[in-house]
Amino acid sequence: MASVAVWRRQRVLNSKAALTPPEELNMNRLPVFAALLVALGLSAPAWGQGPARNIEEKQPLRTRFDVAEAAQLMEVGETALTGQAFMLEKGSLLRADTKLYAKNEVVYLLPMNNFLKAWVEKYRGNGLANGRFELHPEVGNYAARVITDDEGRFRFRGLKSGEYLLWTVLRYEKDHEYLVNTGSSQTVTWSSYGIVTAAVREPVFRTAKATHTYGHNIIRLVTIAAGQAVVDLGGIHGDERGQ
Amino acid sequence: MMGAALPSRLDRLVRVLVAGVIAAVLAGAAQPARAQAKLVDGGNALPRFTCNLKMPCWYLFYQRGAAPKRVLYAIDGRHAKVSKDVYQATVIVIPETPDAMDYWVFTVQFQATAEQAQAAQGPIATLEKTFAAVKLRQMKAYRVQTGGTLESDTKEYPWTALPKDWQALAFRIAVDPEAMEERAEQYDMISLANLYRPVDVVDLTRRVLPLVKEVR
Repeated sequence: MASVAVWRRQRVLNSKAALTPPEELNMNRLPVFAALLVALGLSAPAWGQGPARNIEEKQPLRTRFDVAEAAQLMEVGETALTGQAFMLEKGSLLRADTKLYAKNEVVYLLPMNNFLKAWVEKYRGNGLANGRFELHPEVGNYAARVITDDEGRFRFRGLKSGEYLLWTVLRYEKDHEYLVNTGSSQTVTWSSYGIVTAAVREPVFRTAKATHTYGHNIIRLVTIAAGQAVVDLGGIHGDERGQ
Repeated sequence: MMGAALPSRLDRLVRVLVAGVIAAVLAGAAQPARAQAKLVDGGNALPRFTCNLKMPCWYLFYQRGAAPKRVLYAIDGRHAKVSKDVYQATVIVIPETPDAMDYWVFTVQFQATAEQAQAAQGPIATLEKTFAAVKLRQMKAYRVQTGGTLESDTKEYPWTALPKDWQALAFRIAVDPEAMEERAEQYDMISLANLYRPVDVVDLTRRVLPLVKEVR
């Protein structure tokens, strides 16, 4: 039996480090998926035949932002509104849930004018934070604003009775590990006669660490009844659905 | 001998097992499966003052008394010329330690010619004649008691002579269109906040008072 000498060779083909998208869509496979869908008799619903809710979500808000109305709602009153803003970080088997308090963060209290009422109606089902791109830029100009203390407590004074939208964003950092694609390696197996018997190409990754900053939206619809001296919201976190 | 040795061996085995379990739990606790979130401090809550002119731009411009009984005066630094020779300003009077009254808010108007407004940019020691010629009137005012009770005065008062008090300093700021951008230091204006409601200015002022240098 002739002896066969085997060499293994490894090399990095592409040394440029590139971030790998977490869920990269393989475009080459799309025609295959489409063919499968057609074969199975499935197709995407035609526009206009889907659920009514989806169509409504695509309509822009038509309610006008009335500056005079917003200013009138922000006139001085006699009620105070208090609360404590925090986020709940889920624990693990060995670690209990942790409360992180909004430290020195700005809390906005927006009066519920007609524009904001329409906006809330449109987005409350899917989470109000998701609709912030459609908030009128002037909304924040006609708002009460206070800053939380070290433990997330806030206190608005001089409010009129009525409905308000309370909004604050608790910022926090988190360390993450992710994979960096540093190229690929090729393993080639040669015989002693120079004939390639096997060639395998594999990506090469290394682990990197990064710290990212996130924002946890705390949003509440608040109603202040006439004659109330103080309204205490207690501890609040998440959006109006408690999520 | 054997009977005595067996319990001691078992005892040792149990101890080793317990120690092993404790070590494993501690190791697990020291390296949680998920990274823990760290809070981002909102900072000193006084970011660099860039004024959005659609909201009042508040400046401290005067104080009387000594800490902790100082009374501070804040003005909306935006230039508001409401008609020919008439300028308007909003001023908040903030007691450092509220007693019976929590705070006052005045909306006042000044009547001054273009020459008087121009002269007001000069050194304050030279402005006696200008101050004597300028008129003042109160357009509206309200004050809030410490308990939260609101008292409003919406009556427009007649023009009177300009008192040589905080009103004279407010006049210089109100008639100068470039008070905020060019002459804030000359008028002893300390930038405070860009807030819509005066009550939020009062609360913020009391919160940051230890950081505020003395106002003339």
